[in-house]
Amino acid sequence: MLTQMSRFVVGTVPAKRTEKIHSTLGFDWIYTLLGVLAIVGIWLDVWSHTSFGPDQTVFNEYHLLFYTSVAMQGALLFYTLVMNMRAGYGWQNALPLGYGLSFLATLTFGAAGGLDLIGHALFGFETGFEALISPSHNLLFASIFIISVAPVRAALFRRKADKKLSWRAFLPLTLAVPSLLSTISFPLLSYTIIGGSSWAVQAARTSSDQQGYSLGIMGMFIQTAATLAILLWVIRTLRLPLGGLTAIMVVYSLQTVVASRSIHTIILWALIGVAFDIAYQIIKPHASDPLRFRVFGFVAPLIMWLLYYGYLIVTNFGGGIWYTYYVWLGSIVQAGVVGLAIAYFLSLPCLPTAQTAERSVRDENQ
Amino acid sequence: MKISRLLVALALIVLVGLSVPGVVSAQAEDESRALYENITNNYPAGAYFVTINGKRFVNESVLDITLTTKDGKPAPAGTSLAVETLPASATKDNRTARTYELQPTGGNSYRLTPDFDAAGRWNLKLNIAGPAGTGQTDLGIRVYPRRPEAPFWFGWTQILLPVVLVGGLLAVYQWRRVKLIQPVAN
Repeated sequence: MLTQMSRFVVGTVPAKRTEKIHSTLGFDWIYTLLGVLAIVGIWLDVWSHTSFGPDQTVFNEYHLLFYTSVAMQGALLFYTLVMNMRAGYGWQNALPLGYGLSFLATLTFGAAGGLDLIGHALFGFETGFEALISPSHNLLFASIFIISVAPVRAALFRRKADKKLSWRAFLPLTLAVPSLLSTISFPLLSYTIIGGSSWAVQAARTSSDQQGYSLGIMGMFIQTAATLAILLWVIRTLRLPLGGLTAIMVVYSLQTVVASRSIHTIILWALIGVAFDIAYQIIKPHASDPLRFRVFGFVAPLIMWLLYYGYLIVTNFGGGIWYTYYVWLGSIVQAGVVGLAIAYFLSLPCLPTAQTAERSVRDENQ
Repeated sequence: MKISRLLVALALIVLVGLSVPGVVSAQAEDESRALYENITNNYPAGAYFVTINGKRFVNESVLDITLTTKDGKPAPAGTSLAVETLPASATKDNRTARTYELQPTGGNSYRLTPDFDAAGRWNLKLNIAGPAGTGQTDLGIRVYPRRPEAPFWFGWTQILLPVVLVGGLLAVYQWRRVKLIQPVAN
């Protein structure tokens, strides 16, 4: 962009440019790496909360990494916007496809940070669960999700129809997609099972079995929905290279381990990633074939939770599982239905827009 | 021309990055007030409801306990409150409970300055007696360690890392003439 911009800017007022622009892999790399720093910063903050309770000072050093990284993402997009507008682009087209909404989100992220400080002054620092549900934190989570989604949207916009991605083109996504999974994990942390609370193990057994079943199985459904929604959205249109899903799940586990500090999380997500890849190669899910896509949506949660329970049984982690066979096997099937439902909705044909409807009427009349 | 524009861009990015700690530290607010939190709200204890606000850090905990009757009125004068504190790890550590007899600090409020000398879960047993009746309840609260002081470099590394990353990559791209955007092919 810099070299290209220089050419655009030198000279007199440029002609109005109306074409849209793509980001290159180079642009995606800078933005994605900043995004990873922001996500690692938030996981570091999660770790500080779980270790030391609520924030104990206004000037919290665990906030610096993610605030600075998001500020840099905003600065990069602002610079791109200004330079492209000077080069003749209208503001609507001055940011690469996929990045426009994310630029706005960097602003809302800053605003949410300000609201958060006001909240602290009025109501004190959030404690435990409060930190995952407070309104200002919800705005932070929503903003970081939209910020993190940009490189994935950019890749979707750039895709060549039905062509498998090369590893070179896919590499930024091995960081961007796990970051997106992380952003959705933050607000759901209390309900998360893998990398969170394993309610099925003896060590976490509640006084009421009914309560223990409900917490564990609801957590499975929520984690299934969060994980599959992102993965299915990506594989719906992009054909991933061999090992792509393993890379995504391993990088995701490495991000979460900043807070969980558990080697079990890495091993488990790596196993799940490998199994996802095998299923992906066999089923070959894609939006162009809704049946295969939905089959994968059903099979992926079965794989995920079979490996989870299998791991607990084999390692006797937390004293082994106390759920009965009926409960844990049944919950796996129900989690599969959750994945199937997401795949079903993601593979429904798009409804015609006003423009496409008008065009088809016009075509019919001709 | 190209170099000067690049320098302006990098300077802009560095300035934004360096402004972050200033903006954060400018949010000077009453820290002790911020650390004061609502620990439990209207917890039932016999004829009373118990509300606890305060700070709960090792060796510097203060708990303000407010008692109300079941109909939401302040506990009447003459209501006494005794609190027993014991860490959850007491049996392992061979510790015994410590009891505090509290006097009202004003109206229906009582201040407890407990001897929480270890982080983790502590059990509180409240015994209330007064004209509105009696009440007893057990409460568990988590006591937090104070965060260790982070070294000076820790904060600055977190600020500089993203700034250096952007600056470095943009410089490399400029040198290698890497394009960052391209028009959409029609």
